[in-house]
Amino acid sequence: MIMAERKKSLEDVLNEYLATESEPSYEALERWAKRFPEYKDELSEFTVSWSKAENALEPNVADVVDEETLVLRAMSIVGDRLHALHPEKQESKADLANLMAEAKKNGLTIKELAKLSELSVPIVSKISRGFLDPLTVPKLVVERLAAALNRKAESVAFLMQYSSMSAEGVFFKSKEQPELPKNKENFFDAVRNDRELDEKQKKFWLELEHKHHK
Amino acid sequence: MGGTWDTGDYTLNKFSSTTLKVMPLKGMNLEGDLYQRSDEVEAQINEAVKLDSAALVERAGVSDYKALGYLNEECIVCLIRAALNCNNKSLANCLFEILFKRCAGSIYKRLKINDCERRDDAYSEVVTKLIEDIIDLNSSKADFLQVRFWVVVQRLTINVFKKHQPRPLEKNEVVFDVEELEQPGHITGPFEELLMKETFAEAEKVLLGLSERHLDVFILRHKEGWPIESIDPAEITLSTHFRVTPRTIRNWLTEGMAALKKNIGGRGQ
Repeated sequence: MIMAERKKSLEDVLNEYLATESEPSYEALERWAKRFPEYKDELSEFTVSWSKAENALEPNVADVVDEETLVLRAMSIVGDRLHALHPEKQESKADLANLMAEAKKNGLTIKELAKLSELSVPIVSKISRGFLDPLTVPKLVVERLAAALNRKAESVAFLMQYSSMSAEGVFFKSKEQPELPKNKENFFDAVRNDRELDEKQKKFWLELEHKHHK
Repeated sequence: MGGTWDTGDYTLNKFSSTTLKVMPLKGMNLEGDLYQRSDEVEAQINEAVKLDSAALVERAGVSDYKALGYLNEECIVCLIRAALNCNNKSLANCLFEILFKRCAGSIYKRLKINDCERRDDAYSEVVTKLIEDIIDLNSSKADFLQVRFWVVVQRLTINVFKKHQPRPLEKNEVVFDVEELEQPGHITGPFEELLMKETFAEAEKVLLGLSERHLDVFILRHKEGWPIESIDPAEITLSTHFRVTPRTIRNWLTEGMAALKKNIGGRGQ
């Protein structure tokens, strides 16, 4: 026995219509229109659209859009919408979306951030863009960056782990995905190969490697 | 520079623990019962929330649905909302990317729209609606996404598909010779049967040359079995749906059939 129907939204009805009926048919439409007479016209329109969608020919389009581009477009919209979500809340570690954007908010250039953290511009840039393996980055680096940005170390650490998902986070619009290095660099290798750090600074950071591997 | 420094734990995992706040479903089905996620999805959620964020993202990134540890799309939607519920936008962002890697291609493929620009617009519209429903924590719009994700995707694409169809051409004023047809709008002889086999593949090309309504009416009548008219005023018919007389419907069907006959007549007979 069907219980008395509660007032349901059109979306709810269409969801269940689609979930129940495997293909558009007049018989199915009749049943659902009888069950939800208040949505008879909408069900009718939807069924026509469904039928058209099922019978439509594959488009003859010269430009085939690849999936990567489609994902990028979707993520651009995600970025916009998430950014607009509760913009006043800046407390959570998860709200630190981008190292460089945070530096800018604090009135810092990348050079100043590097100086405050006792790192180099290339290394800070690599950290920001997710090019370094976060598990090789010493806690002290995290703490120094956090102190310079006036944020909690947890926030910076969290960001470092997830900035490796894509270049510059995913807040960009582009038809072509930026090229990312295939393997993330070890922090200590980055220090060794860095041309900006002086010998004293290199020695300081490389001594942590010894402790890191203990 | 130099001096003492902290020699504590250098791994970052200690910073990445996240307690996700899974939101219960509030929407109701036709029987008045709360929507329920499947047992499989519930089990996946229960496992996922025990993981730290790094492990969770890695687990969600498993793309082979047959692989052990695969998380269904329904589960990922739930986890995105759980992440946003504790204001973890970064994790939500990562999970969104994983979700779209799975569904973006499928959404686009369903939008069979010939015009590239319209197709792109349609794709953006579907994606935007999907995202907005998922991130709206104050409503239960995303509940069914956690029950039957692909059904909702299908609904969104159908709704948007029609909206973004290229505008039909103006109705052709040429009247076709229809004397051969015994009953306008009905399939009668072997030629018409042959016509039907080829027709649904050809109909769009030919009938859009008349008008979109010719195509709609043709498919609804001959494929879906819609009646042209009915003595019951409450019954849905082609006439009531298109808000024209039954005679007009018959004329459209007749014109459509004649156009198709003309198009494939040389090949079919």
